[in-house]
Amino acid sequence: MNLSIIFKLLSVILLTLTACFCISFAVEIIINSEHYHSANIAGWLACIAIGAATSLIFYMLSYKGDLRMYRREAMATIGLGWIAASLLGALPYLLLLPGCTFANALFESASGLTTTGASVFGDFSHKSPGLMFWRCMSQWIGGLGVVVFFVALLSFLGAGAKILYNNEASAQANELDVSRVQLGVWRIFVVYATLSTACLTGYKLAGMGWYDAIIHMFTTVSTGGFSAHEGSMATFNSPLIETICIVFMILGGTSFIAMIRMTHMRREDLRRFTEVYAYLAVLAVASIIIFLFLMRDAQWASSDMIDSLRDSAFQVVSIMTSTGYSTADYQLWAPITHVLLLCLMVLGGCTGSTAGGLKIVRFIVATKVCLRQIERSYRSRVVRPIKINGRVMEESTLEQGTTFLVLAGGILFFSTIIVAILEPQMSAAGTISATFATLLNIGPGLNEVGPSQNYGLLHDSTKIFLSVLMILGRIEFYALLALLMPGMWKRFN
Amino acid sequence: MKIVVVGAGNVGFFICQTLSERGHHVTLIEQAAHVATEVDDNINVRVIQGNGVTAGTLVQAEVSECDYFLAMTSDDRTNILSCSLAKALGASTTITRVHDQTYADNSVVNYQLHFGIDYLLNPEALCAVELAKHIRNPGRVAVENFARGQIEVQVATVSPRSRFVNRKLMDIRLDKSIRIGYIERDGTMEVATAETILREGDSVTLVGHADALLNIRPEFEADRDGRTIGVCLFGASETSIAMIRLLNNPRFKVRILENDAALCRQIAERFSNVTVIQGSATSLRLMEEEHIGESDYFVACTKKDEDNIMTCLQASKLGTEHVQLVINKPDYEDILDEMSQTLGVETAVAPRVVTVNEVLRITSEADFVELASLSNDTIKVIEVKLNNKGDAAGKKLREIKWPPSCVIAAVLHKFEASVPNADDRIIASDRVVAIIERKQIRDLLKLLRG
Repeated sequence: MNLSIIFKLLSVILLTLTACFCISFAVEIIINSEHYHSANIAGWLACIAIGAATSLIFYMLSYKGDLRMYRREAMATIGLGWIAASLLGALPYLLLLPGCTFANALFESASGLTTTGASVFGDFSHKSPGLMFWRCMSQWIGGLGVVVFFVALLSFLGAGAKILYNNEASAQANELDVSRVQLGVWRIFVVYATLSTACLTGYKLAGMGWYDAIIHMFTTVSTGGFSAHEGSMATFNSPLIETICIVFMILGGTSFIAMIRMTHMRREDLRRFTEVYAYLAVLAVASIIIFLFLMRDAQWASSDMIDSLRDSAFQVVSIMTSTGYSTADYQLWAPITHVLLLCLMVLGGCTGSTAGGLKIVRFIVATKVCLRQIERSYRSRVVRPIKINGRVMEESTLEQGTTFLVLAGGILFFSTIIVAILEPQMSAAGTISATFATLLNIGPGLNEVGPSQNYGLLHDSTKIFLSVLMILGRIEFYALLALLMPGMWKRFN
Repeated sequence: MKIVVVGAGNVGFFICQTLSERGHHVTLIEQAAHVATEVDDNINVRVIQGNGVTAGTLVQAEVSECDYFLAMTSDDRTNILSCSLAKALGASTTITRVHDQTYADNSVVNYQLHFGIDYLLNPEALCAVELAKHIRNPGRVAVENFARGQIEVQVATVSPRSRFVNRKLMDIRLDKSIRIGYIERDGTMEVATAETILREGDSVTLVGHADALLNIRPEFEADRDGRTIGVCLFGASETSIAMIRLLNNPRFKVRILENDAALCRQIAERFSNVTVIQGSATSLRLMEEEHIGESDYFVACTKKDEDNIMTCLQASKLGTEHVQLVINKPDYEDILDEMSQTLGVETAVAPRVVTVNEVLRITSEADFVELASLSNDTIKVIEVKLNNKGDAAGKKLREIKWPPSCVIAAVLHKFEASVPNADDRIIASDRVVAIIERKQIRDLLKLLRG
């Protein structure tokens, strides 16, 4: 294991987070200038100092050393990078919120960086604006992934950046169609920045103040879901804002690679968007089904049709793209809608987007593999390659895809049991949804952790476990699980 | 004529033999000493032992003075390079044998223009054209194709249920690439004009792009039942791949049996509408499992003649209605010709025979090549090469005074065949496919060749 490259990259990640602290600190000063909270100022300065110091320590550790990077180093960088970022990200909560426990801070920080959007704090509006800003900005950073976002642009990494990208983002670098992976990552960043700007403009024009517009833009395009207000998006009570929000959540959950391709659209490319089509189709169908069930309910049937349709579409988009905003308390809806929403959580958005979930394309692959297997049971010699996005999939890719689903199933299974043991009093739906909503980076679940509730009432041990689940889900298991394998750290001989 | 041939494999050898027998002056360039000796002993040609892609050898073979330069080795690149060199050295017409279909695809680069090749011949593709012709037009009269299957002439009978009955031709909107040549009514043939009204029972001669014809023909015959035709190919050879391309129409349900796993995958990836089965048709169990007997056609296209013959017999026995095969070994050709009735084989094609026929057609010194005859020989389909001596060269079709019975079915300009319209210009060295009454052929030749 070449530790020096890992340390060097960790120092870059920590340094960038420290820079973000500085920005939040600036926001704190600008907004809070009227009545200075000297405690807040001291808190931020401490955060910045600690961040800079740890970054410097890692940099010193890696000062001289070669920069070669292989798979092991890449996996370790991703796993350790996320853990380190979550720990450092927890500092502002610890230092700025009086009485905040380590578990709460870690949970909030992990929830931010992994774009989960689950919170342990109820009403947040009266707290430090700088901290609020950091909370939402952490989601924006986490949207593209802390490693890719900061590190893959470094040109000295060479092909190592490709391994990093392949393992952190759910997409594959060769899909980018670029000669240098750094260029591809840069293009993705440009798309992200463009979406952010458009979203910000939209919110501002729709009537939000600058501060609200910026922090909600952060959490919308990253499909994160933190809000400055306890009532989430419902606070604004504006159909226009909700519609803008729906559009940008959908865009955030759409494959960025597909968007890059759309910018120089060629006819033959139309076949390469299987995943995007499926994603949009599922969104549309689910919204309509939930809308129909809402209309059947007497309580909702009386209300405005358009409002109900927007409510159902908003909740569906918010859950499927793993954002986790809410405009209506779906806890009050019929149980059937809960089941549908749970299914949508599992499906998730497109690969190469900011959305969580298991990614819809994996389910398409798995379905095709299963159908083929069924056909083979009676026609063993038929040869059927499987195409996704207009490209033939290698058999090994198919295996990876299906294995991933099995692994995800296994992790969901066991973590649900663990959560149930840690929280013996929680309802079944609450336990299951809490596991799903954190591992799949959604945010709100059902019952005890429903949209109008938060995770604050859970035990500390549960919060830490769920924080680990969030990171595990965000980096798609392998990079974190690999850290636990003894072989990862040994020299092969 | 002076002809230079490179390579004396199965195809090259046969070409040398045939051309020499026809009295041409043939020079053969062959690299392998023992093959060169064998040709020298058997055929009356000049043999140069050497490499066909070195300029020295080509100069020695006097390519600058030859009328036709034929590169017939089994290697595409050798052939292309050799033709390109020969053209540069002054060969007047170059013909090359290629297997890779990409060289026929001119969408990005015109390979023929780039390498100075006048004709591309693909023996396997020619076989496929021959085989597919029967599948595409089962049990019907007079199907001829030229320009490697791009243009076909077919005769269709107008059914009383057709939507074209009792309508003027000018009112029927046909695909631009289709032309109606003649209409046979009550035993007399007449040239179709815009004013002609179609009646039921008319026999219509249709000319045009093969695919367009395939789609329009059911309209005339009101054959709307649209039964799909099941075709089973054995072996993923180049012939099968060319067949798959030719049968790329929803009307045909193509299955392919191939033993090699990698080849299977390749085919399945390239052609998503083809069912690929990994296995050999020599296994009776597999044939039964796959219900080969239910297929309408079984076509054995492997490189192994013995397998081809035996699997065809097996398929016949299992109940496949039409059975076709490719025969690679020259030694088997005659016996198969004789036995095909007994064996129940409908069509047997040999790559070298179809190639030689094509070469003969190209090198023909006759004023015209007869492609087909219709209506008891009174009407002929002929291909004429224009020269500068006739009146027609350089004019638009509408400006030329054609003989009254003449219908221009297709024009082959350089490498592309098309169904022309009245404003298209024809120039010297274009080849024109005409449908014409026999007695007027002379007038047409005078017009086109002086």
